[in-house]
Amino acid sequence: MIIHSRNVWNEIKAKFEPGFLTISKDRIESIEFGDPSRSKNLSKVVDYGRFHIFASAIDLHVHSRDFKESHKQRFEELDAQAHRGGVSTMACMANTQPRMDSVQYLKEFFKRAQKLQAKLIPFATVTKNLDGELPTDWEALLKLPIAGLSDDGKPVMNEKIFRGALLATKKAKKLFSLHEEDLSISRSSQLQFSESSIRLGIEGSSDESEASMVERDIRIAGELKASVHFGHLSSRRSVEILRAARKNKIAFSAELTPHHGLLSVENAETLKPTDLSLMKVCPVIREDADRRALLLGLSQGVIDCLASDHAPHSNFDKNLPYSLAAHGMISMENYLPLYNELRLQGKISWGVFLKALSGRPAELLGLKNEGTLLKGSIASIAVFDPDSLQSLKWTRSQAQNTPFQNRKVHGRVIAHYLKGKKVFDEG
Amino acid sequence: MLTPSGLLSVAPFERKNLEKFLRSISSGGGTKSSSKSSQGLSQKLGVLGFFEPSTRTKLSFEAAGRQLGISWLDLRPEDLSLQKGESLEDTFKNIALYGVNFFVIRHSASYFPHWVHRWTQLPVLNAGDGTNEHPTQALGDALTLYQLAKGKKLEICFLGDACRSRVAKSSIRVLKNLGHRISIVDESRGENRAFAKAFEISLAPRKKLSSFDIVYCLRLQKERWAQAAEEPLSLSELGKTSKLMDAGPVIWGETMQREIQNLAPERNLILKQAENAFLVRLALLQELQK
Repeated sequence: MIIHSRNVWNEIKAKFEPGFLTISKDRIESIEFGDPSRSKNLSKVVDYGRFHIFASAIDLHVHSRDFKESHKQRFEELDAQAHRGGVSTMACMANTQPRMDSVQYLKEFFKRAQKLQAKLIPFATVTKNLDGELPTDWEALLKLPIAGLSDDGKPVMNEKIFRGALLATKKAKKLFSLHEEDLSISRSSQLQFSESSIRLGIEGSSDESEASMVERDIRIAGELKASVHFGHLSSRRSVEILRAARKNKIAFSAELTPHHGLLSVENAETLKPTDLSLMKVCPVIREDADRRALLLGLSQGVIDCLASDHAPHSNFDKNLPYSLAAHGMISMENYLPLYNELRLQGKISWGVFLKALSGRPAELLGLKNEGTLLKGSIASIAVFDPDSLQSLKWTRSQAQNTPFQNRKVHGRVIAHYLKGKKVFDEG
Repeated sequence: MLTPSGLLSVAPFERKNLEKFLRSISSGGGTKSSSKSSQGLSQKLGVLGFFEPSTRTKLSFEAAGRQLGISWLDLRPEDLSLQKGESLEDTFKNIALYGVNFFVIRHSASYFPHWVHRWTQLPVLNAGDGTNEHPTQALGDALTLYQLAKGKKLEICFLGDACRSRVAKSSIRVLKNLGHRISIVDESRGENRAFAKAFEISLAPRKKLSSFDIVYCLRLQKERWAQAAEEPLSLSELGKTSKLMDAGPVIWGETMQREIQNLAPERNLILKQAENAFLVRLALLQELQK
């Protein structure tokens, strides 16, 4: 199969050019740029006109649910959402029910995930049942084909455990993904303390909860010469701390979610009181100045990964007054449109954007032939229209916990190929 | 004053309606004597859902309702089947089936009354939600100052933990709306500076308290992580003319020194506030019956 468009991403030149992709089975057999007339079998070419073609997204931060939470999301639903969202691979957090804290549970995960078209790679927990105190069997767990260790949903407050897990993941060359939140400061993590939180009557908390943990962990990472991965960053202070760390050549990677890049507490005041709960996430949504600092951090490479923190909830957990509602929102089904809107708002270059969307996450997961369109790589390809406006809808998930419902954004997925096979076609 | 959703917030009030409401109560339109159930008003069934400790708000609603012939169901937190795994939504939807006409709700979670309305589609009177609002208290405060000021605009200064106070948020919205000039005492943690900005009111140094017509003392919200940061209000700080308000309960020695119990009765408006909050609740319940 040959795919053509006037806008195929040329990684070498870091720009979109007219080009042809030849796909054979699950691989990209060749990629050629230049004049369409040079192609010999034009009649057999699938022509995507002006639409943009680039490697599918790789999401480092997904809550897969299923198991005892199949009423929130089943693996098959997540798979279907990723097809429409333009995502090929998802690193899944370990706070499932049961927790991914043993070899036995992870094997069950692999077995179920095998049946899907998108790839799910689980994390294992750092501590038993995410209790923060009793370490899991890191050596045994890290021998499995997992993304790495993470207690996401909870921080690793215990410094001794943090150091141990950091050395274990360094040795295994896997990710150590961090949820940075000092629980003694964040209290129940509601909103950033601000004029908006006061007017809204919602208990505000300080950004110190994230900053103090980022500060501790980047210091220890520098000391042990081991890389850490910061999940869902939310504050300008964290960006400042990590900007300094980049200058000092301390190795780390960091994520930006669509919601921290697109929402601020000021937006909350425009919502109906009973829709406010949809904006409740952890870490909390902060001020517009934080949002802008995060976008700037992405454009400058301080933050180097896009990752959704896609977190489905049932109405039972989410349709409640703000302080009682569960943290988290869904995004997977509209992954590319949401991030494209973020790209436009942050004036992020395509080069930086696509590297953070798939190139860097592939590197971090050790996926050598993914997140790229180079010859010989896996043919997971998104065909995307970045210009047209659409009103976002979630049609492939039981969960509907998103404040982005009906939001008008630029961008829509036209088609999506996973391992050479078309899994979504807008037509 | 009521909308189809009842009374959830003071934010949408128009000044004209507010003044009309206060005038009507002041002229006896909503007083005890003129509001007997024997006037042929239809029998209503209300639910008192108080999920936080409350004496005056709960009893004043209950007493006002009895004057009007309203029957009450008392929903106490320990009655809920949530421990058994029932959802709040199911609980309220079930209760709404029992011929209930409206709810009076207090809860530690902001916007809980809004959700009860969403679940049941019945009118809900907000009797205090988390750190958000306390509309009937605010209307009682407005009535107290309406009677006192007789058209004059007053200088009012709030003292205490405003960020966590639902009374401050509702009362300031209403009193500002009525044209009074509102200030708040700057405190050591600086939270009230953010509060002053958020509500576009003035900051005042504490030593100037005696220059205000009204000093409004706010309770320390210990249940909401507040820590005592300031000295309790003293009698001398009220100078010779300032009058005192407090939505209660007054915790003597904590927000006010005990000597304030000696303040001349005409300068202590605390009981008047409680009485007026009762009259407001009576008037609102009467409106619900129509």
